[in-house]
Amino acid sequence: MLMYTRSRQRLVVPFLLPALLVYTLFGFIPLLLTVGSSFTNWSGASLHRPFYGLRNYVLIFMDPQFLNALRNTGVFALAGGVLMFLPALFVSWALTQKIALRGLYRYVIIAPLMLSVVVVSLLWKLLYNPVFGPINNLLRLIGLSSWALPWLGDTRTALLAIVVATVWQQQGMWILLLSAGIERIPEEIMEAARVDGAGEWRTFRSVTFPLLWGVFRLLIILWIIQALQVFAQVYVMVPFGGVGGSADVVTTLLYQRAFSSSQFGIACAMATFLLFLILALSVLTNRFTRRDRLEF
Amino acid sequence: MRNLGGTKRRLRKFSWSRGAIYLLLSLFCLSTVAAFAWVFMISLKTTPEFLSTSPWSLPQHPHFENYRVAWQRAKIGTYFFNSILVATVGACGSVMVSALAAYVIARVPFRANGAVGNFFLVGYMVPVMLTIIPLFLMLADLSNRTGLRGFSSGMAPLLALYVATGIPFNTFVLRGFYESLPSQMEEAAAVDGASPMRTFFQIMLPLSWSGLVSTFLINFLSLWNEFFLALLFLTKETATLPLGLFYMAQRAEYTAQWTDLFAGMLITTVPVLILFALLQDQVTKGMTEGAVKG
Repeated sequence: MLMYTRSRQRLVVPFLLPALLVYTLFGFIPLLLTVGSSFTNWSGASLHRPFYGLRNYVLIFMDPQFLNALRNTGVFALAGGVLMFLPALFVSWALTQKIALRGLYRYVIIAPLMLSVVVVSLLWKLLYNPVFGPINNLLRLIGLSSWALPWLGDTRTALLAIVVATVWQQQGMWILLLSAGIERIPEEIMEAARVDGAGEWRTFRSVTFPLLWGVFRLLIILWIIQALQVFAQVYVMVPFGGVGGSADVVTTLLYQRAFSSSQFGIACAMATFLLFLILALSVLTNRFTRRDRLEF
Repeated sequence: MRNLGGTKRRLRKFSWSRGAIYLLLSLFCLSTVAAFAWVFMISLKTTPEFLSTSPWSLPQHPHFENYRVAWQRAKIGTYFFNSILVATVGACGSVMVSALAAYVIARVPFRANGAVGNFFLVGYMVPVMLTIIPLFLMLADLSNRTGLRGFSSGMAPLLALYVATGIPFNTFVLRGFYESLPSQMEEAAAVDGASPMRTFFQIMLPLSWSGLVSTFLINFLSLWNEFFLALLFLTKETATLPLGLFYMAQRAEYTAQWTDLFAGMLITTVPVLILFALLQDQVTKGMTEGAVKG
């Protein structure tokens, strides 16, 4: 058996090499380069990068545009998470009940998740269109003309309108994982609750929901990672971050800084800070939502 | 009698919640279906008709011309094949290299199993869009020096990045898959004198086929939909569908040729919807496993 293990160990290098090589070159080294470049005053197409210490970080935190983008990113993440929570919970519970046409409902509700963010963003941009968009048309039809705003052009609604479009697509992921979580709960537990006289609502509140805690933790962390790096939705729906930067997020600002103003050092500092934020928030969420594991 | 009353009450309560379920689920689905029905109807209108009629009106004469215009003049046809090429090659490449690595990490004990596995997992938390700037500029510099544009634009760097960005998810899911396979097969093959290489390709690889397929599908879908890296590395001539649509939408703002854009959106969307309808279980299974184990 030992010889057998030895002979298998000959696979290690040839099997690991391709993945390690590609991943290191195009995944890991770029990470190191980004962090490294954030301490430089890199400003041209050449690779000359004079050391600049922590000044980029001081500069970005004195930049009102960056603070605005950071705030918008936070609002995006928070509003998206809040808006997704209840509908996703309800739909995933409903989809695990014995109902007719379950497969069809499930398909239609999850399908947007499979679409390109660009298609979804264009779709919503057209739905929101103040001239021919059906949303405003519908509002006028039911006599709410004053509500028919230019959703993406109004500084008050632009960011929220993007959140709604994103939630519409991404709730599929929550529904997918939550309904998988509900299906994993053993039937005996539900049965025991019912025998004890718990109704549908009580069973859900006292049994199903607490047992889904682990899935929620996971969804929150996945959403943090995803929401803080939101880019395409904003880039497609409101060019240049919207009126007065009303929907500007960190990624759109950092690409503008890098590729329009050639402030590569600044852009790398923004990227590094965002990476740090993603890491810190994921770790903190993981730490503070830990509960004694419910065994079932 | 009391018992009967209890049953009756429970039944009524039951049907109330049932009614609410159907109502809310139907509303949910209806809004999505209505949005796509709107896109479909407009894709069959002419631009003047679209701008002058109600969004809810049916097209007077179904105008399939829009699809031809989108496919040929707006180059959606070219983008379509670019997307198929990029998504297939990228997903195959990433799943292949990941399967090899995942097998070794899961089943061959060596000194750094855990460390290598964790190294790959770093990529899970590090979005490529936040780390690409220096690499992009270095590749551009390399092209300038060598005079070879292929280093910083076109399919080659894009595919390399697509393969790399898939590795964290793929090694993770496939690792779980290989760990779950029984070890007797490998041992039996070894007793029969098969080399480890042969054991992998003839026994373990076929056994993990379903895992490979669902990983491939998830990679394919995400590359089919990928926008950001395409925006950096591709041009209007070499674009994939999401990028091509983005440029088409930009053009529509000036030319007001909206109806072609709607046709283009459907051409992009329908294959994905069909693929998902046919392979829903494999796709969702892979996504759930990847996330839950993570």
